[in-house]
Amino acid sequence: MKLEIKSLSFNYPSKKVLHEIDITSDRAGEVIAVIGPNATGKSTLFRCIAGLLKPASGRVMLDGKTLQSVGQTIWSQHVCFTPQFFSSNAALTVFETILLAKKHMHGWKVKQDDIDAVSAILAQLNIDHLAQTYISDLSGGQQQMTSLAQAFVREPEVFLLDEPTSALDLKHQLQIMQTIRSVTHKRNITTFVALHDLNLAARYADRLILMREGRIIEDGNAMEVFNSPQLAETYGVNVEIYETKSGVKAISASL
Amino acid sequence: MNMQFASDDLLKGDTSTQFIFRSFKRKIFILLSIFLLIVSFIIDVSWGPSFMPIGEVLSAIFNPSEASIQTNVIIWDLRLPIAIIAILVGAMLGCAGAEMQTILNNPLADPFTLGIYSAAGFGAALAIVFQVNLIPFAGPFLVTVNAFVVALSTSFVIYAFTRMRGVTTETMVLVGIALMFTFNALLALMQYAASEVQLTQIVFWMMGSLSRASWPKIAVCVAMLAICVPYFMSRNWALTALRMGDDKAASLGVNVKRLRIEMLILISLLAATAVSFVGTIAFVGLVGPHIARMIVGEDQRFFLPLSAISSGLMMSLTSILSKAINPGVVYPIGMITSLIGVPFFISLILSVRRKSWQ
Repeated sequence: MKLEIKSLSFNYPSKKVLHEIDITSDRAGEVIAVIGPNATGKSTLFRCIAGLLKPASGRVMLDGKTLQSVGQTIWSQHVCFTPQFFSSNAALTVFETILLAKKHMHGWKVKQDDIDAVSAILAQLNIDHLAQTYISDLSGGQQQMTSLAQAFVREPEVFLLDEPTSALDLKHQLQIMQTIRSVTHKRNITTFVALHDLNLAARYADRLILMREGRIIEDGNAMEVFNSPQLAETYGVNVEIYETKSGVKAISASL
Repeated sequence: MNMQFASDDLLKGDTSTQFIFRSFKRKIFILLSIFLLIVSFIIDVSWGPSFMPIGEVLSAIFNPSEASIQTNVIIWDLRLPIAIIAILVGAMLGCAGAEMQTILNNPLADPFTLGIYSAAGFGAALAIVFQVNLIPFAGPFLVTVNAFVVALSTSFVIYAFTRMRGVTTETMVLVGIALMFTFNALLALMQYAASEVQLTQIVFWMMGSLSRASWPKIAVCVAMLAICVPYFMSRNWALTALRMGDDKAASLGVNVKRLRIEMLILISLLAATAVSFVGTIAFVGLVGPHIARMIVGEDQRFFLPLSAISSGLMMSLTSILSKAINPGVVYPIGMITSLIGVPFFISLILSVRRKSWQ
């Protein structure tokens, strides 16, 4: 599987958001953390890759195929985007919500395989006790877990997860990032994760992409990006890199 | 004791068993509601100034050649058309309301909120007061045809708004409310200009009545449902996904814009046909889907059929009530649906699943 993003630009009527973005991922099983300050174009980039926004120029190719050549429905089966915010007042249970992502239901019949797949993902994320709860009755963190379960139950080649841990407590943040990493490596797919927590990015991502004002500033492994002077400049903070007792690279920031 | 154990065991079972059990329960609810609808239909046909035993009614329906001419006339020319159109119009309004709430992601949306009823009323008044003929050769159907044309045109105005850049579902609801007030003002103007006889006609039309039922109208209602419902059912997955928000639905591969436009056209057809045939019937299209939502949730595979059946049942029960309040007098059904609908609707809002109204 090879994902190529070439010279991708996107404009809103009053603002240019993405400038000539180039990203290539031909390594199977790669977690790419996209980092950068707020309003730097991370979500817009994900929406362009998912085909939800039409770029002003440039293209996204998956194994040489573009969205235009396969159509939105097929593209969405290969490229799975999970938005940052998910809040719904629908009278749908968690189980039904996740099942929706598994297949296009036509008629009354739902396949037993799909039901089993939903059960398995609920158990894997330890949210099986919520299966029959309406999504409108969930907390923000539980809704985010449901949204991620919707993503994991699908079998795309590219995951685009927009700040998947923003509403989660510490334990669930680690659990979700661990799941993202293991799913990515096990299925040999490419996962883009937009993150604000640089320590989570360093710990779980194979590659970091630093963005500023719609441009890619740095692209490399955690140490390469953390050691770049661009990092402190981009965030407008002082950064200090250190190694924890367990050997994990971590970052500390101050104003 | 054993049964209690088995039931508890099932509820505590794995998530897939729980899902299958829940789906089974929902099918049972739908079958039960169909049974209630049939019972209500038979009572509606039996009830009238001359009460007929249910056996005689069934015999006249299934074996008309053996019934007396008088019984046949009462059943086939008077009561059956009214009882059938009550259910059909209820089903049409229920489907239109359910899908309007779904595509606009708004629990208060229904054809009434979007001004389609007011538009139909204005069209009818145009025919009554000025005999304006919007479609030539409408003949005896002048009022109905005018109501339909204006209601449908209003839907296309709303549709045109959806094509504009940056228009959200909230904007659409606001445009609908603005249209409703505009048509209400125009209607008031027409009432001011109308003679006493014309004014009575307009008021009667606005109250909504099943007395205009006829077999050709039933055929049109059946045709409309036969066109719209299979399409709605074929899109059940996309419609259910739409309730999770535009972003989520789009990320699952739903063409949100196209779906919303296709649905709006079909919903308008259903609502415009219903209101042009029986006048303004408020609250059925709003309350019916809410009852369905409380019982089976919003999986469209269950939600749409139960919305149609519960709304049809509401209309059928109201039809019985309109005859039962004062024997010998048939009250306009729209009046009763509003009187019953408002307190019922408020009690729903205050009692169950508060979050789903937000």
